[in-house]
Amino acid sequence: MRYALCFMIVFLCLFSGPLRAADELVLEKDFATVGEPIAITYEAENSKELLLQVTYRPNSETEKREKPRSFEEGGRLMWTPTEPGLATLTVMNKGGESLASLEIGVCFSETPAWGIIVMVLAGLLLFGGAGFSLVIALKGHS
Amino acid sequence: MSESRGSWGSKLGFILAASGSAIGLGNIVFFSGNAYKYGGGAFYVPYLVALFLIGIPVMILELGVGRMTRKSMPNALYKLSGVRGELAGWFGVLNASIITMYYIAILGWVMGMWVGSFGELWQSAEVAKFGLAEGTLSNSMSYFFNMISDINPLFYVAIVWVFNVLIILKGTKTIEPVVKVFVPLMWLMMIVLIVRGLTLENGLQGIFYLFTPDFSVMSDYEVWKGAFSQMFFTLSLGFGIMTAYASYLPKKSDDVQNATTISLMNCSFEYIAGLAIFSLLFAFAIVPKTSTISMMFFVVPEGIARFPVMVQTFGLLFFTLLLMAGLTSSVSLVEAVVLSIIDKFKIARKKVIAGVFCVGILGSLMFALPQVIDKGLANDGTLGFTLLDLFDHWAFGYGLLLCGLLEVIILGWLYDIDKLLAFINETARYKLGTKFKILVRFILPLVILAILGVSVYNEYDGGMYGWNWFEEGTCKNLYCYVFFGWIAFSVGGTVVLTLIKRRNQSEDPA
Repeated sequence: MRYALCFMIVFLCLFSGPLRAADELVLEKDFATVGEPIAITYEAENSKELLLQVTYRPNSETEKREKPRSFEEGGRLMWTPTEPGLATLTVMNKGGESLASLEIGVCFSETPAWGIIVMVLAGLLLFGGAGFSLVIALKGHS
Repeated sequence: MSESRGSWGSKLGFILAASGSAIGLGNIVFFSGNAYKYGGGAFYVPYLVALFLIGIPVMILELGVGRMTRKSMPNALYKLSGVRGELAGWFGVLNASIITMYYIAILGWVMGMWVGSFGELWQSAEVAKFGLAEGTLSNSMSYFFNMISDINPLFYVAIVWVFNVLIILKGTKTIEPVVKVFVPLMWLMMIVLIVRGLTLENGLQGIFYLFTPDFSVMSDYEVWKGAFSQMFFTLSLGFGIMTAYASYLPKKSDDVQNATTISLMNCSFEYIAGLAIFSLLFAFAIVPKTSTISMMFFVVPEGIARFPVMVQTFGLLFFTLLLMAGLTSSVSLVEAVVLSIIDKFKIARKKVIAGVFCVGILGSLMFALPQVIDKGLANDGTLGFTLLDLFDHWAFGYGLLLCGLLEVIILGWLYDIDKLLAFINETARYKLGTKFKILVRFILPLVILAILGVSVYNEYDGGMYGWNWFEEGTCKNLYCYVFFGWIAFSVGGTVVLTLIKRRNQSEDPA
């Protein structure tokens, strides 16, 4: 039990790292939109030596990473998202060590046609099929 | 033993019980996790292919076997193909009983979170117990860790077991009224959560995100494997549940109709669960983790905690929904085990329930005890309750698929499939023909074998938690111990239960 608690402490500390640091990374808006530039600020003394790594769809099989970019003077950087969905912004030093990270939702620039098609077709198939077969089943056909 | 076996009071009762069994914790969180992992809308294409290729056909077989023999899985397969069938059936039931034990342990934690959702869970958490300053963890995470380091989950597990026993005490007589209330309520609660999700700022963007396909992943075999595995697990196939439930059906039921209704209802529930969860994830920019447990206990509660109003109400709603979904599934798991023993040994129902309760609760308590946290916790969100994860790895990841494979081989090759199809077609509105026979005999075994093959390859390639006996060549870690524990329990138990003489020799195969 004591070992379990020790392990918990160690790994909770690891877990808590990004949350604590994330407070220092500031975005101009709560949501970004594909194709629209958004200002990112990270206040640090050596901000010009820091890099911003953008990861689209993190933790998924379709994860994509942008090439790391340097911050400008004053720890500011303009970022134009290229992919919709969830993204993680990570501030790193030149050695690749993560200093802060923040998750953000990137909105579609326009209503995605494929998204609507898949949603409607899957919905029709599943709900239509379930409703239809439930009605027939309950009618007492045998 | 002269107790009546019982039967469903109505067709609706059976459909709700079977869909309630299929709709469990996995539908609410596991599907959304998989959909996120495998490219959103692109996951729907293999998912729907899997539904029609593997999900509905295997369910038709399981329902047909149950209705034809009016027996639970081991006894039904014994009746159709002798001892070989019985061995496969008991393996399925014992494998399912391991899953039942840790499933109920997880439900105990859900109950703990449910208790917390009355207030403490949503307040600024005290994490001093772990030596961290207040506010360094999200509330749900710190509440969860505090809870599991305490003795309370053991009581919660006991309470969940008592609920299970009470619900199955009189078989269909007690199961049916419960599912008739629980299942419609689950749908209602999920709809309330969707409305809440969609009314959040940019909640609709989350829905677009869920459904917009990234077709570049379609050629990745992992996506297809994910979809086919998901389908097997989500429909409760390979557990013997559907056969047990179908054994209570009237002789004139339509298996094709029932299987289609249950499968589509289950997948529709996953569809709406995806809407609720993705709108929440996007609105609060929460990246899902790969673990179902972290999604259930951290990710979704974290989103709910950020609601501008009625946090407690929606939190309570979410955990009540999880409890109900979990209970309707665990009840079916326990019933499948109980009925298998009753059918073979003709022991009174209450005595069997008492025996299963004693063994089951011990197993669940073992899983509910705080386990050593794994190093994967830092990166992939895996809770790493090592024992639970490892048993899940073997019993859920391999056991269910193995049971499914044995089932289709027995029915397709060892038993005369034409007889079963003729029986199903007698009452079916849509008749099954040669194509279905080809599906059962060739395509299903090949698909399941392919999934298993990929899993074994990944096992060789990766192992778990850095443990991999292929590289080490020895078995001196928990990964191997649990594997042998799983084999000893399910295979050893199978042999013992098959060797014990059945009480009624007239049930021997023709």
